[in-house]
Amino acid sequence: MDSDNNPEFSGYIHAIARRKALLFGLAIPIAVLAILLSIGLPDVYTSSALVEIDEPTSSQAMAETSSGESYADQYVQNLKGIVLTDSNLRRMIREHDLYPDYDDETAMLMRVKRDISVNIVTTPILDPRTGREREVVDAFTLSFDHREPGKAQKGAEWLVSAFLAEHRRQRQGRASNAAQFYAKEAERLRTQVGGLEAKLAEFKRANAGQLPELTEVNMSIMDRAESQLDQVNQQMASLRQERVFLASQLEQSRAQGPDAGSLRGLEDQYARMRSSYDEAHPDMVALRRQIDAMKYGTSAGTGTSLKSQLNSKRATLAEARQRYGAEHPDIKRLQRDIATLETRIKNGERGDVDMSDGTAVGMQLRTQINAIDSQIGSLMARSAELRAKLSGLERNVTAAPQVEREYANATRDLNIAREKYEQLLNRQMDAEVSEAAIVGGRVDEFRLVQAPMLPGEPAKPERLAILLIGLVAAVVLGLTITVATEALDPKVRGARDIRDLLNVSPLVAIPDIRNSRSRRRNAWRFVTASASGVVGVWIVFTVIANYL
Amino acid sequence: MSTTMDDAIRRNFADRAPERPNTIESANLRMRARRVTAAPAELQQARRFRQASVDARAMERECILPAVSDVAALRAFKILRTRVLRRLDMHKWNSIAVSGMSVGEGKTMTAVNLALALSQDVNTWVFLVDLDLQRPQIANYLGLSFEKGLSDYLLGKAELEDVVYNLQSERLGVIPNARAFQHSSEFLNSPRMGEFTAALEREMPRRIVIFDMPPLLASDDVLAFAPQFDSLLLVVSEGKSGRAMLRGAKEVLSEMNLLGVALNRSKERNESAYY
Repeated sequence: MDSDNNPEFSGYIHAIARRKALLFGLAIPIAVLAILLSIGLPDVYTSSALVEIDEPTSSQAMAETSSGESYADQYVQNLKGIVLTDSNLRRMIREHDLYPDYDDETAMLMRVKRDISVNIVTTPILDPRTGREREVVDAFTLSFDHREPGKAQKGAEWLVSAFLAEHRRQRQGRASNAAQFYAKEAERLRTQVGGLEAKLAEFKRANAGQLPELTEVNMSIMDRAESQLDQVNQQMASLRQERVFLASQLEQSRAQGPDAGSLRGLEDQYARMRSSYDEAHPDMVALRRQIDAMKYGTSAGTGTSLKSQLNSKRATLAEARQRYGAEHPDIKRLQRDIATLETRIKNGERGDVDMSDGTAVGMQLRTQINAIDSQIGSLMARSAELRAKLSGLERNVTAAPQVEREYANATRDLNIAREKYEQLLNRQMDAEVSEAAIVGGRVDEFRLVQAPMLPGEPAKPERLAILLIGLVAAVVLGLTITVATEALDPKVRGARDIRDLLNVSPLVAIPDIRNSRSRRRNAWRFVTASASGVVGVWIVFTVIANYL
Repeated sequence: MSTTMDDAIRRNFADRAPERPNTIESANLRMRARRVTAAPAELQQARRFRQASVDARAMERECILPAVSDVAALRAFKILRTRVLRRLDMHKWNSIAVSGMSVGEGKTMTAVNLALALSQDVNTWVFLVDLDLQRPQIANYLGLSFEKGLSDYLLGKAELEDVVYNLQSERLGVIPNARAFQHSSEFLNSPRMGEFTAALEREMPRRIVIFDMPPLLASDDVLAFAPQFDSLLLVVSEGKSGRAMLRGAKEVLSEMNLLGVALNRSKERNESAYY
């Protein structure tokens, strides 16, 4: 016999023969369970929808990141977590009255969670960079199982709308969040820009005239001031020459002595003029006053005494003030003159009009010299002014490089902040636009490709498959466990063991002797085993039938 | 009752089918071994011991042959009887110690049934001695009611003829025991025990002595008593005796004459109706 030639095989056969009870005790219940399941399980219908993730730009981005699993996958899972909350599912069950025969809400929720399935659909693409094939998520399916086809479809429809609504809500929320964020950031930057601007203005104020952009202006002002100074100096020089000349003329006229003829000449002139002018004519009045002054040797009423000069200057100043501002150079000059005259009067000078020289020519010369003097004085003042201005400008120009550095810093900060601010404003606007687009439903990334249909054929259970798998499992499991038990058994089994261990064959194999007690015991064992088998099979069947 | 039992035994053992020697044995048996039957003169001297009654219910419970109706079991004991007889003849052995690895392997059942089976052979005279001094069981197995047992003999309270009981057939003498001994191995080596075995051997006609012994490894009883018996029949119970124990017993067994191994509770049951 074959089994004798193949000791291992015959060992198995013997093991199985010895452990028939275990083998059948395992195999029969499993087989019965498989048969029961394949016959008794209720029909379950599946309705499913295919939703395409229509996002070319982002899928490209995903391909570029190449971080293995794509984000779309994660996103769909995330969405699932949000949509399939207990409260949502409760609403779904209530709306469609999905499980009228369930009382317990927890059981109902567990049931619905089992019935819903969300599966990612991937497409293999050739990665252009690595040259290998990769899976790209481009769609997902939503399916719902139910024992009634109509309710299966209703459930699937609810799922699709819930997913799409949630997706839209998410995107909108994200866009509006982004818009809010950008707005906030823009506001923050705006205040920053304002602060920087204020700082820059303060800096400009503090370094007025020293700013680098004014350097050229400063230089040209300096040039002009220098040329003005030169002019003033030239004028001064020419005025000094003239004064020297006038002074020498005055010396000459003094050397001729007091001009006696001049009174007479004046009287002649007066007589001559009386014939043609009225006595009240100003020239006549002036001439008479001159004659009187000469006759009586008084200087009163003449414009040459210091006091009269002061008076006339004051009158001029009053007149000028009406026309010019306080800062006008003429006014300043007049004020200066008045101040000089006042100090001179205070010092006891009476006047530079020596009555001894009281000739008309001398007086005229003196007047001219005085005028030149005063001109020179004003020119000197002007020259001092220009010098001060020049030195100030020089200081500014020297300080400019240092100021320039700080100024550049300040302006750079300001420019950067301004640029950022503009960017943020742009982004805020983009976000607002995309939010509006999402609200308007113009940019949906999810596209329902296949709407849930009313299932015609039950999708589950696969009765034949269950039966076959169950039967195969019964045989395989029974045999495996039997052989394993045999292999792991430390006890002596069969004549073979004795031969192996003691090198002798047993004289005899006495079977388990059957008497009334052993029969009773065996019968009892059989009854309990069958009863527990039946109960076990029934329990497992009920559990599985309820689960599916 | 006794008649029905006798009938049952006759029915089972009356016809001794000639046995075909198996391969292993035929290797040892080059020559034909012929059994020497007891001479008629010896039979004349055969002592009759007192008769004792047995309980069929006890025997049924403990699977003792007259009460066994299991065909496969009956066949197995016939085979065992025949093979044991052949081996004893071959080696000129007279006494068998029946032992096993541990408690509950069916040593006493095998010893009693072997004795019963041997006694059914008209040419074979048998003594069955309960030497499991710590747990004497034979009387319980047979439902035997008796006055004095081995303990009385060993303590000097009785003589041999007081403690041997015939069951139905005069060819089977049972020496039961009622009292358990704590220091069993000392008693087994005592001079009184020597006297006992000598007395058994002196009995005519020559008888096969079966000692029901405690487990081999549980105590030193078997080792201590080893000089007093010719051969050892090892009882191994399927699904009960450990492989490791059997391996451990191998060394002990090598110090004795192993008559053979009886595999008990075998699942390989041959129930064909042919025999």
